[in-house]
Amino acid sequence: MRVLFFGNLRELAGTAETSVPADIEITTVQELAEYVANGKSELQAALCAETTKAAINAKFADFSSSLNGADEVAFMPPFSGG
Amino acid sequence: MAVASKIAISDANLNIDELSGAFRRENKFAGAVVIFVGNVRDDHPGDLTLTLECYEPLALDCINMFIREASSRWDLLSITIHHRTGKLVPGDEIVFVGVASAHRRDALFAAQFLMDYLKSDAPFWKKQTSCAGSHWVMPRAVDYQDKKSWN
Repeated sequence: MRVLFFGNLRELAGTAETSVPADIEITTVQELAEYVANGKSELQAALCAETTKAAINAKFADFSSSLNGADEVAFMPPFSGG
Repeated sequence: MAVASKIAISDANLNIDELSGAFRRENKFAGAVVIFVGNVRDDHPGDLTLTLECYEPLALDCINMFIREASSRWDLLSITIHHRTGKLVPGDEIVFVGVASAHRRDALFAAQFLMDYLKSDAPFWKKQTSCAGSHWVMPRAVDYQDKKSWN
């Protein structure tokens, strides 16, 4: 599974993208956020912040959403377009 | 009838004259054509860059959804949206929104609606860098209020 980070989350993660083995026992977006934070408290706090949005396979998803069928999960800080 | 729409996200400079000219030509017989262009402000003269990134597949989905919503609210003929990514400097154009309709009110409202949603509901991010340092631009409370005003 590919995991994407954008904006300040990318900087905190130190990478735009990481991968998580398919056989790992993670079932929700919330659990994935904790897994990829890997003990980095600042990153974990930012990933799990109320203002952070997630997407599974490029569709918005809740943090409680199942990762079943997820090939790509994105973590996104507040948007600032236009 | 579905509104005719074109969307592009690109790290190439926006050629506003070309985009405006094409949109006006395509909608020559529409009663109203509204064109909005968002530029990078010169907040730190001579020393400012804005770097935009986006999650393109989701951003395209979001913009398509904004267009569907706008065309369900107003009677529209055509919408074109171009959004920049990459490194920009003051004076560069960030976004082009063209809306055409038979009557002015529909195009005017729809253009504002589309911009309000582009500001805070599509996955774009801006990082501003100047001699004062760098920071991620956060949506302002007024951006959320603008969007909420359409509910």
